[in-house]
Amino acid sequence: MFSGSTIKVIPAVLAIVLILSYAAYASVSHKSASKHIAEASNTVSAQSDLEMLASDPGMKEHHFELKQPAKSADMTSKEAIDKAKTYIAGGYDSEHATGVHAVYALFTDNETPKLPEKDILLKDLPVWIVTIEGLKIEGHGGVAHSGTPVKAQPPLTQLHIVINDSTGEVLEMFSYK
Amino acid sequence: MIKVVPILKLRRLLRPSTVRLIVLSLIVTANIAVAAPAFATHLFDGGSRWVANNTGAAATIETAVNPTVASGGSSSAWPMVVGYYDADQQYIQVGWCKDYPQSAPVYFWEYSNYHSPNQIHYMKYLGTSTIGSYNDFMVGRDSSTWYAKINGNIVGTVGYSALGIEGYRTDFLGETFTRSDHMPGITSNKNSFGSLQYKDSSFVWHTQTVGSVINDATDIYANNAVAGAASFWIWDKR
Repeated sequence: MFSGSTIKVIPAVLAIVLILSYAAYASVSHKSASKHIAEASNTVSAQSDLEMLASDPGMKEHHFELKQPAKSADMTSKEAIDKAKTYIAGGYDSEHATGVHAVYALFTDNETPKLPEKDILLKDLPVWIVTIEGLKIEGHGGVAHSGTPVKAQPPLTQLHIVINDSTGEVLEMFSYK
Repeated sequence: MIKVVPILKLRRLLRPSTVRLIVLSLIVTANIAVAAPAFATHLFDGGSRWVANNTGAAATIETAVNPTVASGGSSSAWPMVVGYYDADQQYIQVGWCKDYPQSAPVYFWEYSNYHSPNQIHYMKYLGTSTIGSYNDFMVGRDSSTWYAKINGNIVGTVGYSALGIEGYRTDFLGETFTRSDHMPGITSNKNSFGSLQYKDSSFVWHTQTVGSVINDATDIYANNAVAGAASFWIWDKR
C-alpha cells in the first residue's frame, strides 16, 4: 500500500509531530509553574507548617530552632512573602519558582547566634521564614587547577529567607537542598 | 483506506536532507524550552597555593566597592580550602558576595562536596558587609569540626567527617559568574587581600604566600599578585 519512499517519510513526519507536542508540553509546564507560585503566595501559615519546617532534617542539621510565638505577628504572611519575593526578584531563576510559603516562628540560629555588623541576637526572635522552591542557586568557589575540568555543580533549589517580623528586614538566607 | 497522497506531496516539498534539518532544529528548540538556564564558567582573580593536608585558610579582605553585577551574576571575594577532588566541587569558604539582585555585598559562608554520595552543598548569606570595611575571614578545622569565622566570631560549623574533604589547596580569590559582572575593586580603589594564612596538618596557623597567580580574564580583570607575596590587590579594569 505504501511505497518505499513514503515509508521513509512517515517516521520523519511522526518525529515532527512528537517534537512539536513536546515543545507545547514544555511551554504549558512553565506556565503551570508560574501559576503555582502565584497561587502559593496566598498560603496562610498554620502551626502544622511550623512543626513541619522545624522537623526538617536540614533545619536540625544546621542548628536552627523554631518555636510557636506567644504573640501574633506584626507582618502578615502575604507581606512577608512579598518582601521575600521582592528581595530576590530576578535572581536565582526566581521567575520559574515552583512554590513559596511562609512560617511565623520564634527563630534561634545556634549556628550564627549573632550576625556580623548587627546587634541582633538570633535567639527566640520573632521572624517570618519564607521558603521558595524551584530556584537555581549557583555556588561560589569550585575552582579546579588539577587539570581535571570541574564537574557541573547542580544548583541548590530551595531558599529560606529569614525576615525580622518587627522591622521587615531580611536577616539571613540559607539553602541546603 | 488510508490516503497517501498528502504524504507523497510532502515528500516532493521536503527532501530528506531538509526534513533532517527541520527535525534537528525542532529538537534543539524543544530542549531550549525546558532546559535549566546555562550556567557560565565562573571567572577567578587572585592567588592560590597547593598545601597538601592543610586544615585551614584565612585572609583579611576588603570590601572596597559595591560591584556591578549583571542579571543572574555575582561578584565575591573569599579564602577557601579546596579538597583533593577539586573537580568534584570540594571546598569550604567564607567571605563576602553580591549575588544578583542584592543591592549591596553581604557576608556568606558555603561548603560543597559532590565527590560524596550525599551530594553536599550548603550556602548561607549573613547580613550586609559595609563598603570600605576590612574583615578577617577564616575557614579551618580541628580534629572533628570545620568552622567558618568572620572577624573572630564563628558563623558556622560542619563536621569533619560529615563534609568529608581533605584540604589540598588554599585559594584567595575574587570571583564572578560572567564577564558582565565586575570583579571586586576598581582601578582607583583596588580590593585588598592581606594577612594570608594557612593551617597545617597539626592545626597550626602559618603565614601563607601566593603560589600560583590566577586571572581568568586579563582583558577586564587585574591583580598585582606575584608568587611569594602574602598580600595583593584585585580589581576590575572597566
